[in-house]
Amino acid sequence: MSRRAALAGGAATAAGFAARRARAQAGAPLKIGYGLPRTGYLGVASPVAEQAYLLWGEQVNAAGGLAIAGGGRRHVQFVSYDDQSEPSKTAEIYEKLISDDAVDLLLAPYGTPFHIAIAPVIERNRFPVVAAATLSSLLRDMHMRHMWFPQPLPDAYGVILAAFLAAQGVKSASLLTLQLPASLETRKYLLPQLSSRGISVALDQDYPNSTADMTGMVSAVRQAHADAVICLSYPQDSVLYVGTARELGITTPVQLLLIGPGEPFFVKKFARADLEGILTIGEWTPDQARWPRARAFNDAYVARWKEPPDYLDSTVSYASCEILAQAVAQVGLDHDAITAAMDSMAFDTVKGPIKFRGVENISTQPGLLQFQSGALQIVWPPDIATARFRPKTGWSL
Amino acid sequence: MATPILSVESVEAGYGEVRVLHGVSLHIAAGGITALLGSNGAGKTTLLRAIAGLLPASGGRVAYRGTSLHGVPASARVDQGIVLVPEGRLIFGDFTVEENLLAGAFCARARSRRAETLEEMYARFPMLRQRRRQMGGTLSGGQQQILAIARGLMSRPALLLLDEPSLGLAPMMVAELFAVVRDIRDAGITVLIVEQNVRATLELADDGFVLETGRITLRGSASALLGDDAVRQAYLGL
Amino acid sequence: MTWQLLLSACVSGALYAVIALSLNLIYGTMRLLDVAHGEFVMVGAFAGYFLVTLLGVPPVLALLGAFALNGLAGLVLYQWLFAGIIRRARSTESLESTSLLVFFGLSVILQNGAALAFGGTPRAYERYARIVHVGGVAITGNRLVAMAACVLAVVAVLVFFARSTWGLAIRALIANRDAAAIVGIDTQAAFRLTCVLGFGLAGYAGAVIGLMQPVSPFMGGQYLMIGFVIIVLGGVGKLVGSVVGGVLIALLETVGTQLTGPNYRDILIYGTFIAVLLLRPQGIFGRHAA
Repeated sequence: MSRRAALAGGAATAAGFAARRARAQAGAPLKIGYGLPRTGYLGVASPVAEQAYLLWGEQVNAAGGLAIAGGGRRHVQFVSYDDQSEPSKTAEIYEKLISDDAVDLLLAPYGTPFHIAIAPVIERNRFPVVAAATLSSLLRDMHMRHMWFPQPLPDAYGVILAAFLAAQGVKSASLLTLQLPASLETRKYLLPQLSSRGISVALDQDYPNSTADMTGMVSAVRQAHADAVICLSYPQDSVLYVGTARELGITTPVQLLLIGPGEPFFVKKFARADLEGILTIGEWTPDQARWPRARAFNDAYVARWKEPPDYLDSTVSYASCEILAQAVAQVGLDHDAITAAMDSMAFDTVKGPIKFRGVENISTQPGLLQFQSGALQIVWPPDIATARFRPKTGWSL
Repeated sequence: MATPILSVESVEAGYGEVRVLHGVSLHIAAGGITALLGSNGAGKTTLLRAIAGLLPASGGRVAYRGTSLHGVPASARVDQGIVLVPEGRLIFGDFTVEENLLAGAFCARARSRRAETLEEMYARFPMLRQRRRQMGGTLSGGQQQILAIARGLMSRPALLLLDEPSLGLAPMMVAELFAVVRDIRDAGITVLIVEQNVRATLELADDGFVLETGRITLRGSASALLGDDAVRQAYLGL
Repeated sequence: MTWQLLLSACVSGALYAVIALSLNLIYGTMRLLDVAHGEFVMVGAFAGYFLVTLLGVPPVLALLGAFALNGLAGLVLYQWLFAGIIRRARSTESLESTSLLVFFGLSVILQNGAALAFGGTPRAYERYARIVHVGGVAITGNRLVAMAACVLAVVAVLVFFARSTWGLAIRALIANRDAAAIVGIDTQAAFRLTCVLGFGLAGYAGAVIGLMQPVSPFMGGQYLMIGFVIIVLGGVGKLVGSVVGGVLIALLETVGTQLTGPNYRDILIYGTFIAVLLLRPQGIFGRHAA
C-alpha cells in the first residue's frame, strides 16, 4: 500500500469514527459517574447525598435532559459504585469511571477522606469535580486545580461560631470533640477564635468513635459550669449527647451539636421540647425566602424520598449537581472549558448564589441553625437569619 | 428360641478409611450378662459404639428385639432402651451429681418417671445422695464410674452396654463395681460388658464372645470359656 | 454522680449480657462461628422498629415480636443451612472455619439486603421518653425499660438453663457432645431449640437497642465485637460468664473511662480482653481449655 493510500484510509477511518461518535452523542445518554459508600461504616450516612443526586437526575430527565451548550439536551445516566467506606477503593472507582466507563461528568464521593483519595486521579486526568459532602479546610488548602468547594468549611464555621458566642455574652465554653476529621478540624479552627474573643475553654475533651456511653463526659460538662456546650459530634453521638444531657439536666442556654440535628431521623428520635433550642451548623432551611428554590427542592425531595433532606449533605450534593449543570449549559462538556467556567461563572443553587474564587465558595455565608418549634431556623449571622436565637431552656421531664 | 434382645449380623464399621470391624455377628438373649473379650484394638469399643448408634455401621445389620436399628439415631436408641456407659465414663464434670443423673433421664420414656428413678438411684447408691450437690468432676474415679452407671440406669434401659468399667479403679472399688453389675442383671437388665479383667468378668457373666481383629473367634458359656485353653493362654496368662 | 454512672453501666451491661448470651448459645453449643450475629441484632432492631411505627405495637410487645421473628428465622436457617454444615463437618476446627465463611456471607447478604429494602439512613422512634428519678439518679424511661427488659430476659434464660429439662440438655451438649448423645439427648432437637433461643435473643436485643438508639443496616458490627470479647472473657459455653462479662465490659466502658478518660475505652476493653487471653485463656469462668 502506498503512503498516500494509507493516509487516505486513515483519514477515512477517522472521519467515520467521528461521525459515529457524533451520532452516538446525539442519541446516547450523558454518563455521569460517582462512587459512594453504600456499605461499611459510612453506609448509614451517604444515602442523603445519593438521594439528592438521584432526584436531580430524575428531574433533569423529566425536563427533557441536560442542556449542553451548542448541542441540545441529553438524558442523564448515572454510573455508580459502592466504595465500601474505603478511600482506596474510591480512587480505583474514579480511575475506572474515567478510563473504562468513559463517563462525561463526575459527581463527588462522600466524606473528606474520599475527596482526598480522588484528588490525584482527577488532577492527573484534569477532570473537574464539584465537591459536596466534605467539611475540611485542609482539603481546600491542598490547592487543587479541578475541585471546588460549595460548602462553607471548618475555619469559616470557627469564625462565626466564636462571633455568635461572643454576641450571646458567653464567657466560657465546654468542648467535646469526636475523633473524626470534620470535628477535629472544627475544634482546631475554633480554639484560636475563642481565645481571640476572650472566651475561656472550661473543658476540652475528645472521644473516640467507639464511644457508646457519654455519662462520664456529660457529667464533666455539668461540673465545668460553662456558658456554652459545643459538642463537635457526628449523628450517632449527637443522639447519645441529647439523651445524656437530658438525664443529667444540662441546662446551659447554648448547646450546639456539629452534625446530626439536620438529619431526618433526629427529629423523630426526640420530643419537640427536647429538640427546642439545640444548635447546629448550617445555613440552609426550606424557609429561607431569599432562595426561592430552597422550598421547591425540599418539597420535591420529600415527595420522592418520603423524608426531609439532610440540611447539610443533601443540599450541598444537590447544589453540586446544579453547579455542574449550569457550567455545562454555558460551555459544553469540554473539561478544560468547565474548569475555566468554574472560575468565572456565578451559580444559582438551592443554597442560594454561589461564586468561586480559586476553589472556595465566596458567596455563601456560613451559618448556625437552631430548632425552634420543631423546625430548624437560621439564627446566625443576622443578615441571613430566619429567626432570632432563643436560649435553650432545659429539657422535657 | 426366643427372639434375642440384640442381634448383630455381619456388621462392618470403622473410622474414616480404617475399617475396624470385619463382619461381626453375635446374638444376645435377654436377661443375662454377656462378656465381650478381646485384646486392645480388637474392636470391642467400636462394636459397642456401633450398637449404641454413635458410629454408623458401613455394612451388616444391628437389630434390637428383632427390629433393625438402621438409621435410628443414638438418642432414639436410648429411648428404645439401649444405653452405653462409655470407657472413660464421660460424665459432665461441671454438672452437679444430681444434674448428671437428671441428664440421664432425658429420653421421653424415662422423663416422666424421673423423680422416682432418681430416688431409686439414691437408695441403691447412698454415696450419690450424699454428694448430690457436688460437681461431677470432683468425684474420685470409682465414684465417677458409679455415677456414670447410675446415669445410664436413669434412662430405665433394657440393655446396658458397659465399656471397661473397672479401668483405673482400685481393687476394692472393682469388687464393688462387679457387685453392682450383678445387681443390675438381677433387676432384669441385660448387660453386655467389655472388660480387661477377664477372669472376674467370666466368673460374673453367663455367656461370652471373643473378638479378635474385628471378627468373633470364639463364643460360648462363660464357664466353657473359662476352661478353654486358648482363652486361658491369651487372656488369663496360664 | 457515681450512682448515675453505675446505673448507665447497668443499662449497657444488661444489653451486652443478652447479646453475649445469645452469641454464646450459637457458638458455645453448636460451634458455629456466627460473625453475622450483629446483623441478626440489626434485623431484630428493624423488626422492633416496624412493629412499633407501622403496626402501632407497644414497644414492650415489639421486643417479643422481634424475638419470635428472629427465632423463626433461626429455626428455618438451621433446617436449611446449619444442620447440613454441622452434619458434614469432620472436626470442630473444620466446622468453625466452614461456618465462619457461611456467616460472613450471611452478614453481607443481611446488611446489603436491609440497605436495599429499608434504605441506609438511620431510623428512630421515641417512646417512654419521660425522665424517671431513681433515688436521686435521673434516667430516661426508655433506658429503664430497656434495662428491665434485658434483666428479665437474662433471668428467664438462666432459670431455663438451670431448671428445665431442655435447658439441662443444651448445657449437656455444650459440656460434651458425645456424652450428651450417650445419655439420649436428641441433638437435632436441642440444636433447633438453641437456634430459636440464640437468634431470637439476638433479635430481642436489637429491638431493645431500637428503644434507645437509631437503627440502621450497619449498626451490627459493634455488637458483634462486644459479643465476642465478652464470651472470651466469660468463657465459651459459660452462660453465667457471659452475663458477668457483659456487666464487666459495661463497667469498664462507663466507670473505667470516667476514671481514666474517654480515649481509654478501647484500651480498657481490649486490654482486659488480651490480659484474660494471656492469663486465663479458658475465660474467667472456664475450667479447662475448651
